[in-house]
Amino acid sequence: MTKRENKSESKRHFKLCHQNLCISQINFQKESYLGFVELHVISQRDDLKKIKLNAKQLKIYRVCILYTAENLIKDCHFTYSDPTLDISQSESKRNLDNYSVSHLAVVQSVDPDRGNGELIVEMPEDIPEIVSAVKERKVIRLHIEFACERPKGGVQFVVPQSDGSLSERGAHMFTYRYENLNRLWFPCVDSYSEVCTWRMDFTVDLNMIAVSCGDLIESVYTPDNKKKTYHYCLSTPTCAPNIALAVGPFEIMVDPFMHEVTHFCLPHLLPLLRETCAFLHEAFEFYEELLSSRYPYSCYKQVFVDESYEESQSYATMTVLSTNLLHSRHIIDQTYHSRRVLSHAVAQQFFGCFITMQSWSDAWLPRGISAFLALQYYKKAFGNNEYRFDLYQQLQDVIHYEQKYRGVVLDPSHQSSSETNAFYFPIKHLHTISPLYDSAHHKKSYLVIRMLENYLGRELLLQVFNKLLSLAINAAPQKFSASVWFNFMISTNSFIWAISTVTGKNIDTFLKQWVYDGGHAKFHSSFVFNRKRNTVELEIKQMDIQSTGIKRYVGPLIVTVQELDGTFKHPVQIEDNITKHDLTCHSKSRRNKKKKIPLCTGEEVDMDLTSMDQDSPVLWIRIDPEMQLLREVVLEQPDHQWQYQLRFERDVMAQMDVIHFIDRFSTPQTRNALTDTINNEQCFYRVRCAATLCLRRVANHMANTWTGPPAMLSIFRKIFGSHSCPHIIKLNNFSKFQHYFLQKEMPFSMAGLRNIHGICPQEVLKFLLDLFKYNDNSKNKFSDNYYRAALIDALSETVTPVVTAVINPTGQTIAGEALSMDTKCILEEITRYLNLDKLLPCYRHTVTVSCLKAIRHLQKMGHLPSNPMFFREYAISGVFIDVRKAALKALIDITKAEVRKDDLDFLLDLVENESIPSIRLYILKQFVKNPPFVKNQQNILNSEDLVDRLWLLMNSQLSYDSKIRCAVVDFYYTLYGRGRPSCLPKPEFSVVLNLKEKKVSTALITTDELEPQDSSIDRDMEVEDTKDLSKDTEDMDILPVEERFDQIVKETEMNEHNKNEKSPQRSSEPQLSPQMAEPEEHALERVPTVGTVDDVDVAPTPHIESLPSVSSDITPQPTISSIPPTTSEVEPTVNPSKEKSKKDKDRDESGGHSSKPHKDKKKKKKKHKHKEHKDKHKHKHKDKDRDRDRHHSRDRTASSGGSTNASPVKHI
Amino acid sequence: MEMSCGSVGTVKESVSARRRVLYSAVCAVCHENEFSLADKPSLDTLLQMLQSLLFEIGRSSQAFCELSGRTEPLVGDVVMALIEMGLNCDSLSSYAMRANRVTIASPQLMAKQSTPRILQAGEKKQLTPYIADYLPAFPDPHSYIRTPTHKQPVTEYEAIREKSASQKRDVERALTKFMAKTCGHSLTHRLFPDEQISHLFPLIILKVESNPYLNALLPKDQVFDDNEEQLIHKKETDKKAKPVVNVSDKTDALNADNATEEQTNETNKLTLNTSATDNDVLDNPYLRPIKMSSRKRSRKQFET
Repeated sequence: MTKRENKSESKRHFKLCHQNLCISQINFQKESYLGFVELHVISQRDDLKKIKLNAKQLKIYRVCILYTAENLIKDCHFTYSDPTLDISQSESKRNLDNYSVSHLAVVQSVDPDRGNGELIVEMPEDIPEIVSAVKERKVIRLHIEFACERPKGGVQFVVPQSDGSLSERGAHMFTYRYENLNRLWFPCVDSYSEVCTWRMDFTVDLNMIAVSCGDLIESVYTPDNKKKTYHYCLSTPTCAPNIALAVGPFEIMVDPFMHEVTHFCLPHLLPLLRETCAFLHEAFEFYEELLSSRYPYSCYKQVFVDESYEESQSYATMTVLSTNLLHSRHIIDQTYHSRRVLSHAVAQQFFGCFITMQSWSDAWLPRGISAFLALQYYKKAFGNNEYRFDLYQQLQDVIHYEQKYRGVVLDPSHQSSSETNAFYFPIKHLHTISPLYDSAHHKKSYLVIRMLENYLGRELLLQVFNKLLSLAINAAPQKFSASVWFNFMISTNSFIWAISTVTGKNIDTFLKQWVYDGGHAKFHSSFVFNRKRNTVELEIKQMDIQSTGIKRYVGPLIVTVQELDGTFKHPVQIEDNITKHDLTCHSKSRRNKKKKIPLCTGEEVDMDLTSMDQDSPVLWIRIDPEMQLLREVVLEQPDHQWQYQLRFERDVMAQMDVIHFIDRFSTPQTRNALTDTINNEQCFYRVRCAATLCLRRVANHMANTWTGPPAMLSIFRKIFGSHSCPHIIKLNNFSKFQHYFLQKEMPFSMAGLRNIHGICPQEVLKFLLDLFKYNDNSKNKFSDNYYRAALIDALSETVTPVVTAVINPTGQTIAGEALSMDTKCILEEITRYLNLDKLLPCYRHTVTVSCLKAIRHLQKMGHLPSNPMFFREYAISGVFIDVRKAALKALIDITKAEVRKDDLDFLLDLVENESIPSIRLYILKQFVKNPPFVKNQQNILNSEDLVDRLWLLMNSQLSYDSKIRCAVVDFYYTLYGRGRPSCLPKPEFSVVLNLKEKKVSTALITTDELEPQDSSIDRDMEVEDTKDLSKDTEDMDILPVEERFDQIVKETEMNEHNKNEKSPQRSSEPQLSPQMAEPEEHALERVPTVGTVDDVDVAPTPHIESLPSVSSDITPQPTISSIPPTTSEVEPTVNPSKEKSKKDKDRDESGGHSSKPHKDKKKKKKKHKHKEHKDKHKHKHKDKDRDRDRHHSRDRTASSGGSTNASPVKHI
Repeated sequence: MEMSCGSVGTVKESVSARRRVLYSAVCAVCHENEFSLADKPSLDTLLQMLQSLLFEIGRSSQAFCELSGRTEPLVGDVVMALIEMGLNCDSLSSYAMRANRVTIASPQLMAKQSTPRILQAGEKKQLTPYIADYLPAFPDPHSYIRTPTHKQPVTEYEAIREKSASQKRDVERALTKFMAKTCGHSLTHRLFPDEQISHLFPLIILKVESNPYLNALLPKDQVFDDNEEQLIHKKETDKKAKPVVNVSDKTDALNADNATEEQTNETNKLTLNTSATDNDVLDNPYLRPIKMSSRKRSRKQFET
């Protein structure tokens, strides 16, 4: 790319050069405020008739234009409509496919990037000054007065219910947004790509402070001295989504190291604020040095608020953070997290606020770059191991998401609509994507930027960032007219441009591989050592490229082989799904000489080589050690190689790989290797913690042959036991963090140990109870709240299902006598800790959270009666958020286990009415993780009411929060899939639709010979093809089919009678109708309320009945229609009745589906098979049965494929 | 017929047993005369009358007795006294022999109070040979024996840990149980539906707070000794000039025009920790005083 692309030719007909925002009369009781905005608009065309702006849930009082210097006022007509209030209006098309189509359409219909908006202002044409201003591209001042009352989203009023004045209570308000939803609190052009300068005035009560973006110019009393007004000015062009406001009785702390930085927190929390933010100047300095560019704004503010939407939200010059990030210096665990969040927020000031995305498809850039910067700081602050471990985790998360749901496409702009629509939510717009996808997108963006670091080199990548920043910084002071403001936006194209300018490199292939396309690579690899040639013959296979989220990789790959003589890198080229590589070994076999072995880090170590293969000099092999690809590697190595790798490889990622794989070799050698790792003080603490969990698994596998005390007991006593009596733990001293984390993790790992009877050894329980007893934190500098919580977790981990023969599912009969001594001891500790935590609460109530978890676990295992009311008390507002979340999680678990509508309603009520958005989101996310039932499962909760409720929720109730709306969509998908929920009645039978679909399916089948192994995998990708086909077949007229129906009626009457004799009761069952097996899903799933077989008027009904034997007639191709007789000869009698019952099953599993088209195929198959059978006469009958079963199962899979998708499945 | 003799029990113990007997006698007489009910005050009055009568009889019998030069009265003295008081002695014996007489049980002997044994500490010493045996015995041993005032402390680490752990646990257990049982309870907030088992594991009721984050972020489970570090800190800051900042108080701000220059000496806590000079901190726009509205300011200028 030679020139930077300037995408300024947007679809908007005007540009914004300045905006004033004024908000006053903020009323905390009524949760309302008044305000006006003044947009300085410059027309981009001569005939500007309408100006489309974004505004949502606001009351617009007046829109007018100020013109001439005398501020003459001309009122404008305007219309206001919000299509996102109701997404899908058609009742009959109630499925997620239709929903996602309309969702995208609706969101785009107000998308400012498409020049749309909710508020349409008509330009007056009768004022010559205005008309001329349009023509001359002069500034038009658009004045809009608005009010906001009881906002449902976008603004959070936090008004605690207690005595005292508002400021004493700590009442405050702040704005939040999910991507660009700032239109919820003021009218604007709500786009990241429309920047302008800002002036903002906020009038608040005297004891309140208004914090907003930009520089605080002054604060002035109102004339009546009862209020004050904060005047802000933001001269750096900024887009509307990056504007925020927080008002409250904040305490102020000026950063002692950087006076431009101001921190705000709620009353009483100042000491914590001081300790939490003490490090922040280091982050600033680090970023400035790293980017060799100064911080782009003149000030920075951090506001810590309660009930925040996310942990942190970055806006221009300010960040709104959750007050729960604050901590004192006695807290260890939270410090890691808070520092990470805070430093990330600073990085987002550079990329994300100062430089924003151009459009949705570019979102990966600011996200990825800011996360990249943040992790660079993380590496500096917490060390390389911590950084690499985090990297490893993020990669695992992305791989997990992609394999479970779909590949994450960072820049979907190059994707065809079929590819993007092949999922249950459209990925082209950030307002329609699932929150899970969003978080995977965040992580993957970062991983890709990091890969780019490898690809280009760190220095060059930083230079690219520097280039982007300096262009923007130069543009900042310039006037709008200079038209350099596009430098504030970053897009994939401008990024390519910047890279090619700075480095001269072309990254097109890279982008094509990782950005424009989703998925990751997965390598299966194995090797043999060839002694003669002294080579390693390595085979790398990519087997699962058809699976979800996995794609074929072609390109270079690094393999390292650790030999006796050192580490050797072998670049190999992957060109095919299976590649073989000969890697020459450098070492001669010379194990007799005692010599130190050099590692990749350059150090030389002594190794005990006795367990090695005598012939091979290979110690271990790693594939893609530097993680230059997004990949999953399944490497087959002998166990001793894994053990060597665990002991001597220095990279934490390699060690983690071992820990993931090694538990399949449950041998004493593995045990020793793991024990050594845990004991090794040089080893990274997180690896040691992971090793304890792995050792637990190994020990449990070895339960039969295990000798000595329970695993890890002696290690623990050695490290943490006091000198004179090792069975008593030392007084807590957490000043060595490695030990602290290990001390937390080991009891938990040990608690999972099981003896041959599958229960926790008595010795371990005793050990844990002793830990409780002897826990003494009096001499410690740090709080032990996380440690105590970990002990409770460990205690609950020991609990195994109750042994009594019959466990009452409701558990109401559990009596006190039934409690075993162990359970009593456990309960005793838990209740004591729970009670104590209420009297003397610990930091973030971690102990209470763990106690709730433990109580739920005890209930689940049958030791306690299940009691949803107990958790409900903890789930209501007024309880600390962590505790609420724990209680809600337990409640969701109870809902699943006990299927009571009551519990489900309670949770859904919360989703609908809860005032803290993060709680609502949490409930939905947990529901997705742990749904009360899955698709098509028979369940009491699986009722029409629930479908209606969820549908209503996502369709028309959540217009003000697209994140929660998408979370509901996730939940809906988890419960019902993409098709029409099986519990719903069927819509009216529609012949036309039905017909069309049927033809589609039959047409398909005639062309396809092969059946897929598992059609559900392909489901997502086939939409386009079927659509095309449906177009082709649309032209066919209806008549022939009607004729066919008639024929069928006649032909099948006989059969029908027979069948009715066989199973008369079945004919009257309404459930039968799903069998009617028409491809059109609506028809299929909706059971006609009167649609029994007795209804002879309904044409399709006899058709249904005829299906088993005759349905194959209904094909346009005469060739196929000739087949059925043969098949019916093969199995003339057995087929119908059996098939019927099979189909009942089919319906249960697939939500009611046609197997008709597949039947044709089946018969074809059968014919084919028939020939084979002649060869094997002996097994004829058996084979036949088996065949039939197989066909049925195919039917089932195929039909389930059809049910989730409006169109049938293409068979490859 | 029942007498309201309930008051008997309420008669104070300190009032002598005699009075109690008299009381019974009064009641008995009333009973004989077919009273079914009697107020306590009236009974008391009767009792009082009877007592003074008896007292008077006694006193004048004593006087007659002394008049005849004796110290102990005889029957004759009593008869004399009765006669002198105008009471009929003849009917007395027949009255005493009446058939419907209520026999009043003779008052029980009070159990003899045993004097509490003096606490015996140690062995009482025998008199040493050089002390003559007619001299009194030694006093109680506690006045002269010597006992060690403390036990030898247990120095064994294990035992100490054991003891402190059990003490801590006992205290915690007692406290939580006490609080759980006294701070009210709810029907749902318990682990078992059965009242009895729930009692074994009582739970403290959950309190809903208006600002739950405060308790969660300012933990109370442990008190850390911040003093040392703070002292060091303070010394450091003391050396440097204390940052002086205007408190943006309402009163201050109202005379903001005057106050801009004169700075209150109140050290602002907000800027503790700062190594900054005054001007640097003042530079922060959030710490600047609030200005008067332009209208007011212009008026002031006009006035001056």
